[in-house]
Amino acid sequence: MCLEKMFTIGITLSVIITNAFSADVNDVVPPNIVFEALALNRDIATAAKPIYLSPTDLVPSPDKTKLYVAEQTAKKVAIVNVTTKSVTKKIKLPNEVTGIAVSPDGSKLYATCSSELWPEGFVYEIDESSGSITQKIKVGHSARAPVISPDGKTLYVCNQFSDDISVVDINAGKEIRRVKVTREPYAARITPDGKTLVVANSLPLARATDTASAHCDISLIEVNNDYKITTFGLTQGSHSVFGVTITPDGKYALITHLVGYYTLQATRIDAGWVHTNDLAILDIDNKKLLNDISLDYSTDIGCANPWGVACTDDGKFVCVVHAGSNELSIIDFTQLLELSKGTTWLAGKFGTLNKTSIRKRVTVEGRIPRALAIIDNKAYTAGYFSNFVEEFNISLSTGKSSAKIELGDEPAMTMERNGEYQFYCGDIYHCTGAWQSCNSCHPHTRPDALNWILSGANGAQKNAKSMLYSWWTPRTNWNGKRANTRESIYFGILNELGRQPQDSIQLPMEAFFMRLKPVPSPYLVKGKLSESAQRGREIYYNKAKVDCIECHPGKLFTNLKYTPSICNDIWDATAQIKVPSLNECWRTSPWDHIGSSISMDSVCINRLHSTNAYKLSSQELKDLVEFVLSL
Amino acid sequence: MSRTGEMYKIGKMLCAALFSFLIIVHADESVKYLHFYDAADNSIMFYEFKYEGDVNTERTLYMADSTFIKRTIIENTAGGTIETSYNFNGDTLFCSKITTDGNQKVLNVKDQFGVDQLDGDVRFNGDGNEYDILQSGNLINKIKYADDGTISICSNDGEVLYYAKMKSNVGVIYRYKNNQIAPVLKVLGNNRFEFSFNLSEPSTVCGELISLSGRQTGKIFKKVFAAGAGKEMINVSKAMPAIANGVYFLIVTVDGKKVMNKKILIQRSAGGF
Repeated sequence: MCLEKMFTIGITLSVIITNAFSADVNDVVPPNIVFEALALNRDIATAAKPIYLSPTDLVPSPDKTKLYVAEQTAKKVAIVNVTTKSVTKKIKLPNEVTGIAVSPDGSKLYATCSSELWPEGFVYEIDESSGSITQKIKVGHSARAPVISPDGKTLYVCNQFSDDISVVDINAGKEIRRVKVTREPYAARITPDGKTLVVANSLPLARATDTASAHCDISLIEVNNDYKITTFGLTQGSHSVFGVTITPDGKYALITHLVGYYTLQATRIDAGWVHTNDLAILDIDNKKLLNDISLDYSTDIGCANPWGVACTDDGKFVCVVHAGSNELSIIDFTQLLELSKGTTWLAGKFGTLNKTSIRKRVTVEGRIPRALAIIDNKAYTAGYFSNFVEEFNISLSTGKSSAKIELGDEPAMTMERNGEYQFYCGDIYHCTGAWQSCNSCHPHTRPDALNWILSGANGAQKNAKSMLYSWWTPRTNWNGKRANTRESIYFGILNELGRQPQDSIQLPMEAFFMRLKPVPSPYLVKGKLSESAQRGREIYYNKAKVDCIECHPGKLFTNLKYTPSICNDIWDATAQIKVPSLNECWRTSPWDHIGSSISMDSVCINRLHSTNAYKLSSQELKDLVEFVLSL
Repeated sequence: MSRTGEMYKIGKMLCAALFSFLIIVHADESVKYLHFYDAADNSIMFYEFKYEGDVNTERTLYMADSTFIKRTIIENTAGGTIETSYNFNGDTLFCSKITTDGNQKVLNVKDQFGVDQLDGDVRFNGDGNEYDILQSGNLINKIKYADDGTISICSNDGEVLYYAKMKSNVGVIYRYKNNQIAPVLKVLGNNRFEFSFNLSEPSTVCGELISLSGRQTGKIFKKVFAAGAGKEMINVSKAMPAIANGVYFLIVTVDGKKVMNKKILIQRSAGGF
């Protein structure tokens, strides 16, 4: 009896306790893992990563009553009524919004989405009236700058890190073709007749030591002629080609870009000694680069980092936003075109646009304006580090914005966000004469693919460096000249921006660099190593086969030591070079400290670089390179 | 029976009952995926869970298009739970530490360099159904566990910003009011059990007992169930009157896929079977 009671008590206890505690969902899916996934994906705000709006693209509706605003980091499209000057709707998207196109009838929006965390690109077709997503179409890596054909049937998307253009059949809801372009296509437009797609490649693809080739290309793609491409090289030293528009008559493409004067020692900043900020004019029909005009005001005053560009419908004015100097240039296009047709090459000719009868410079309040749209005689800009759209009357007498349209609340800047802002800012408080920003030589904190001779470098050229993991791999510079990132920032501001470094600028920038993360490589397949890269990984870590990990060990793929140069450097034959990290090397061509290699195969088998990689079979070498470029 | 013998038998029974309890309270192995959606029902990403026995030891995060993001290894230590995330190359991305402070769970996430990724601890204060997410004393979000198995992430004023749904190998898992998730085995006493579950489509559900040595003892039930919530009463005494006392594995399969593997105690009553 006693035994039975005890057993019953035991089982009852078991049942009671089991029911009280058993298999609660919170044991398997506790709140912290739900939160962490969303917080690290920047879907929900934390103290470290508040949700900023970061307006990055502005597109007018066909009926000219609305503006569509890509709020990049908020992962939203805002619809703004330009008459009431208010936001009427916000549409949430699964990833960061990098660009918007609108169908000719205005019924559909096409938003490209990708981010540094999830760079696989998608186009989301959105029903404009309901705000609901009606199609999701896979495109390429870091998709941006969608362009719709005038008949509304085809969408073209720049895949920045796939180095190609996706051609999307909208009715079929799928990508039907990829068109290879030069490198990092960043902006595109199509002619009004729908025949020619103009694509801006934002970085040079060339050996930095080959000065004749160190420039960016514009790709003209004949979409009705089997996507035949004609490529134009912009001015020598051109890079950071971030904006393009086409005049209403379809005759000219206007392209914003920088020109780096990398053959000169960077001992001064004024007079475009390091960079000029230009607008190229391309004659589309005649396939000819008509001219390249410095937008800088004079030999003393620059207009740093031209980005968005747009024309009025009547073709009388062209507007350019300067993301560095925080300005809007309103330019009489008729006069500009006349000048461009002259015999003088206007790149580096300052003062071309300093007459008030040709161009008006207006200060914009929104910091780091990249986005620009024009509706009739109004220009609209939005600063990436602001939460409003500004409206300007397009006139050479315009003095300030005529209206401001609030997009929503913006949290206070964290140290990291502040550092990002400081990095992109090139106004007179950040650079003497507003000629350039940090972003000028290190677009998006990565290299501009050019060699530079910094002040005090005794004529020795060095390829621009990536800021990624610079904080974690001291000393900095190719030869370890600076102790750490802080010192590099200090001397960068002092020597390359011509300003006395302030803690309020350099400390946030340091925090920004410290938190930089690599973008997943386009060589990865669904985020993982391809089969070839997996084989390459085996080779990479096989000491008996190759000596890669002697110099590139660990998680940062560098031993932080110095090694003799792997290439012949006629300017500095004795150079001891700090072993670079391999993280994100897929993005940092040309390689070696003077950018003399554009093939990773040749880098790997270079006998000054590796003592045994040359012995690999061609397949093994291919696999090894695939792995390295996947990092 | 001698007093010593009786005490031995009582002790054995209590141990068995306690053992049964300990096994049953382990986390349910059937949560295979956790899918995240935004308020507009756009799929964002999902976790895939892996288990060793009943213990969740690993999860992998993929974006909605199945792009791999990170693999997280979970390690329970005396000082709390340590979760280390790795990238495609096996290199460390993040290290999260989850500790308990009173009634609150505390989360801290650092990257491979030790940089705090959240800028301060995040605390979860709640009762199992609803949690306030706090950072530096400020309420930043709420998480709610609903009875239908949805986990909602809400703004401070209750607006649903994101939600997550659990799935098993057999479909969506729903959550019951008593905080259990299907499939769930309830011990009713006298060798009776209640097996409840939810099916995304009509399926054949089969239950069988396996001895600890791995020998199949016999099928208890095998039936076709309609989609949706289902329940099966298991009376081992009736289904297998000759079964010996002891601990067995109850294996439940749905269309041949194992969805449950629980240890249960079978004990002959005083009056025999």
